[in-house]
Amino acid sequence: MFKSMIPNGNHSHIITNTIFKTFSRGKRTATTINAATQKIVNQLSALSASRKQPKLIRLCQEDLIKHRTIVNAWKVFKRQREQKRTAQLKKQYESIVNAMEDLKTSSPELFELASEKPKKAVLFPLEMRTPTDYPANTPWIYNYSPPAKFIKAKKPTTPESS
Amino acid sequence: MSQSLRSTRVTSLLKNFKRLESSSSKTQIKDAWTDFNFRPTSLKIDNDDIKKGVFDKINEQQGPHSIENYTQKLSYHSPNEIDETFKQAYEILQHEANIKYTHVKGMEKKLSESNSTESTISIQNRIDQLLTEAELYNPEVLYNVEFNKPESLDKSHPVYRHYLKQKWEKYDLMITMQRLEQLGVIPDTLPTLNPKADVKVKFPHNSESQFSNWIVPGEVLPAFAVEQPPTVQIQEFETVNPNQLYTVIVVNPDSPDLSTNSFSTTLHYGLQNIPLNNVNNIIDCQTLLNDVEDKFTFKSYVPLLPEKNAGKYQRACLWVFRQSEPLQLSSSTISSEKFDIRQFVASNNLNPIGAHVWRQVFDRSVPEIRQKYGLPKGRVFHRVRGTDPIIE
Amino acid sequence: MSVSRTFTRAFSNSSSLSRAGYSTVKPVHHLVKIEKAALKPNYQSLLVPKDDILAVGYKPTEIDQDRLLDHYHNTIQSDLMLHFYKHDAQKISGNKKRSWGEDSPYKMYRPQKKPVGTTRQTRDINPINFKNIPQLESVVVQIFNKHALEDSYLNISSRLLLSQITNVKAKQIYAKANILPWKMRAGKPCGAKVELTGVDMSQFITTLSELVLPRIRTFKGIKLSSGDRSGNITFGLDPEDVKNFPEIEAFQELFPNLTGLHITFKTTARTDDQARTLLSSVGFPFYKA
Repeated sequence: MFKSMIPNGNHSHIITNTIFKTFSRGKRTATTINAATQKIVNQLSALSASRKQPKLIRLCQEDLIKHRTIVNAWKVFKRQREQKRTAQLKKQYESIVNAMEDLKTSSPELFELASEKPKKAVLFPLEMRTPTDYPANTPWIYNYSPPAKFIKAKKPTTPESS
Repeated sequence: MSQSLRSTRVTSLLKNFKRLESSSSKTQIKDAWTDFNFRPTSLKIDNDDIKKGVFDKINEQQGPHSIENYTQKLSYHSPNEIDETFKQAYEILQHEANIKYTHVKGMEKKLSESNSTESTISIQNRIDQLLTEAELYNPEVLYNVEFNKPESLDKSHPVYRHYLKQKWEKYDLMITMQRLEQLGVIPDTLPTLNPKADVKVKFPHNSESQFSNWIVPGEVLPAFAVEQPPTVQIQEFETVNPNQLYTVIVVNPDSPDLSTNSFSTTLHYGLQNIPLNNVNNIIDCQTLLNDVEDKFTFKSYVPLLPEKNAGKYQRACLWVFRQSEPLQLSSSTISSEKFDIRQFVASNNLNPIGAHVWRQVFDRSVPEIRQKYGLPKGRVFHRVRGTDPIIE
Repeated sequence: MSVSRTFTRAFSNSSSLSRAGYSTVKPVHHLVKIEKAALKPNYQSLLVPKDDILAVGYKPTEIDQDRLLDHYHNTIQSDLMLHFYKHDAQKISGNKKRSWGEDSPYKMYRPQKKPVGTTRQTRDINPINFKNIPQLESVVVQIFNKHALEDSYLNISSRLLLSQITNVKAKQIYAKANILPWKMRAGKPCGAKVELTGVDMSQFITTLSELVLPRIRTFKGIKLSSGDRSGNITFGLDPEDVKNFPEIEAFQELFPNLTGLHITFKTTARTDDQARTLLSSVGFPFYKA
């Protein structure tokens, strides 16, 4: 639902009424740099922060108020969700404590068994997966090989240790 | 897919709210933000076109009303799905406000039953806090705070005072405290100040905008600009007790004192027992004109008129106090020369809540204004070589 | 100036440098905090908080569902609370700095004694309850590039590599010491690092455990002995393994001298065992070396 507070890819709603003109002073000479330097320049430009900064969204007054209201509601919603979650955990914790206290008085042997803790770390089974909305029918292709065009493009690489 | 998940979650939350609402008693308030029977109309957006733009979809053919430029108006596009999301957001926030208003109703009932003043004050404070929380996220209030002038806001409602206080703390308070500290107003007049109110000063008799606007603390003003008594605005942010009275004084801690080869404090202006509240918070010429029997003025205004070479600057320090009881001060009992401000504050049981300062030096307009106020011709100070020999 | 700090008794560490014995700072008489930057007119646009849409640096953050975090809240969190619950558990105090005693006024302001046997304090271990269930705080990914010590420009590709696989701009790291045999000189750039939190962290962990690690044929898991004894687990990837990141895979010719990665999981767990249990819930296997 809160998708609309996110700027979408096309910045159609941005008012752009400035026309940018570039003036060149004097004669421009074509600079030639070798391929290796060009590669580094490309790498640096890919890292530059200005590439990653989205354009400033200019909202009109009405939309700014709508946006602020949506953000406020989202904050309220998140806070309520967090409170609900904490309350639930607290309830669970209290019932664990009560159960153990009960066990301690009613059956000390069972209490001993229940409060025994393993010395090593107990791990979750590897098969447990983080749920996805659409799980694949075949989870993993073990004999995968990349498509032919990628294999051709690949150079023989020399492994270097760090 | 994630969006659909989220939207189902939000709808379920809304359903929960509705169930809660229906299950509770009939005193539960519904749609508080659209009901103006028990809320002041100052919580509304005045301009109907703007209000329509906020609550309904902006017409693409006409464009938003807030943009004035015709081409910009037509080329404007709202973000996708903003209106649908706004409706859901409004419902969530309004539900919170409904709960707060139900609390307010309960507290008001308690208020009518309470008999001790202490409990009345605490309940009133709690009601103010609840009202602020209930209206804090109201889009109409947000609009008024963001785009209307601060003067046009309704200061009788705690939510507007809350926003005004926030704004004050972000800029004006810091400027005032910085200047009071840098110019040594504290501790030269009073030891410190715990600011509670926004104090603004202007001299409206000036015709030049440079001198007739609200003055920035610490400004250096010529003598002609301060010829007439200042207009003082005291904006309190807490709800003011209806019987609250205020005292305002202007002192100059830089009057030359030749006998001690130092400086002394002079009282230049004194007002007492001024009734102010959150809305009527200005002391101006109207207040003084109504003051026929010197009910308010215990020291009539004399501007600072620095004599030539009497120090670099002279500071006019304006202090505002809350009174704990009505005062009976008169010019006959209070001497303006060698005025002891600390003793004055202690003996009259005054509580300083705000201050302001401007500075003055000798300038061409001083002799003329001295004449107008019937003061003797100003002295001119010279450097005098001492009688003690200079020892190498 | 070589003044032995241990033998100079003083109120602060800096006063051992024989500074003037009085303060030159003017006393302040009010209680309001003044931010000078907020009073500068030219600064106003930069003072808008970053999460406000009017801010120059505004970047929307809540753009997608965090699958890993949701899984943690829905399934893992309550399981962990039950698993780590110990009845009548008491706080285990860490190894703390010690007082010199109170029998002499000279000991009053003396810096405290070091902890027993070490130089650093260790944290207390509180019994797990519903408020302090172990959770992933952040993931630090770090590269050490020894080739960059000679030619600094080679470090650019390390930074780019990290930025590509983590979606966060990498910080450059510099050599701290002069070590001649390793050609190391203090101040030379020699690698990159990022600290991931929130959505970026979840995305990185998902990529790592679902795409990269399963494709490493020799990968057995994270060593069970890994960990800094206070709940932070580290493991490394070889240059060969780094190629399995989908962001790198198709553009291998752009990164000719690939280096390995160090990945550290910072958790709110106070023991390594708790941290291992937590990490196994997001799909990291462990093995006994």
